[in-house]
Amino acid sequence: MADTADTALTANVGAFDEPFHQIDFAHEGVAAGHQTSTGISNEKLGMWTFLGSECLLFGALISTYLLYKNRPGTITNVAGEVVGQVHDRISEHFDILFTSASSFVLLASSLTMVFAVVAAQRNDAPRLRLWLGTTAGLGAVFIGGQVYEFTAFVREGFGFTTNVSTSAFFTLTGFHGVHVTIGILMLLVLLALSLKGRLPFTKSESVEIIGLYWHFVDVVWIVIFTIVYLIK
Amino acid sequence: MTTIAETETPADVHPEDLHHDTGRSWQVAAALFVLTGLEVSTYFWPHGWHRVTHVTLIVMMVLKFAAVAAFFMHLKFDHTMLRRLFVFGIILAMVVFLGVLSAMTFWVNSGTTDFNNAPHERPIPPPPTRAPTS
Repeated sequence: MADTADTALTANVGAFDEPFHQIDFAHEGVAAGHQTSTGISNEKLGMWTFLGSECLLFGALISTYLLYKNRPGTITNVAGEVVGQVHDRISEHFDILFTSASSFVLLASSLTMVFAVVAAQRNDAPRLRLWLGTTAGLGAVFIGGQVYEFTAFVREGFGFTTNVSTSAFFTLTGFHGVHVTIGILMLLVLLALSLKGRLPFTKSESVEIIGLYWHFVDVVWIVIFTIVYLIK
Repeated sequence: MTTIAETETPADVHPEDLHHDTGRSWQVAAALFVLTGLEVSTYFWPHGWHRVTHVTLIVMMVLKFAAVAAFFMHLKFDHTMLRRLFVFGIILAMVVFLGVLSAMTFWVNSGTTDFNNAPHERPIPPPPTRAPTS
């Protein structure tokens, strides 16, 4: 028993046989930052906590839209002329086929994001750049579609302040669009870092964490597409 | 001094250790595309089927949400704490906002043709007429 204790003590002492002044404390700190009691990195846990709180934000916006989507109001065009009747709602002017195409594009971007994460975990830099660029491009196509849709609505007389229904609609879909835009910017930053060689294999978790954000934006659109566009 | 991450090279990573399986991702994506196509098709179903349509849409939405969260976001295979964290956020949001919708009488049929429309304005009754005095 005593021998075992002595051996353990010797082993512990042996762990500190490196001269004190040669220990790289800065590097140790980085390594210690990844050794959490849960086994999950702080960055990943932080992203999941953020996504959990985002559920409340989008829950509020979706609830507001549901409450006000059928509320009547006078609809005017940008010149102030009344163009709509009381029961003329923005939901009756949705171009479902166009929005469906946008939904397919966003779903496809989730798949390409998965490929980007796989490439990062395999340390395959060329494929990582390809899929990051493709994902950002698909996101940009989605945003372009949303800008086109908003422009078409404004031309038809549905502005942000036309009535509470349009305000709720533009706030909900606009907030989602802002999230997609932020996601595109983060993907482009990753792409730039990779091109500069500053996204090594050891940082592949950064790609995974930004991928989580991107997939969340996709699942929010799944809910918005069903509740706002498809349920009449 | 070296860190664990630095000593681990790509050669040490086995395919089964990778978080995402590419083949499975294709299958999930195909299922998502099919479900989305079905969702879009419900828009052209007869108006009289709205109850069936709404239930179908909600079920497909939940399936798509779960598929992306489980496989693309890797919740099915990741740490249980992450799953609980995200599900807690979803349940909290649902409880809070279903409560808000109930408080705002969202579920009460206003009596108009369209669900949740503002109730019709009742006509103002004419003032009571007085009997002519002789």
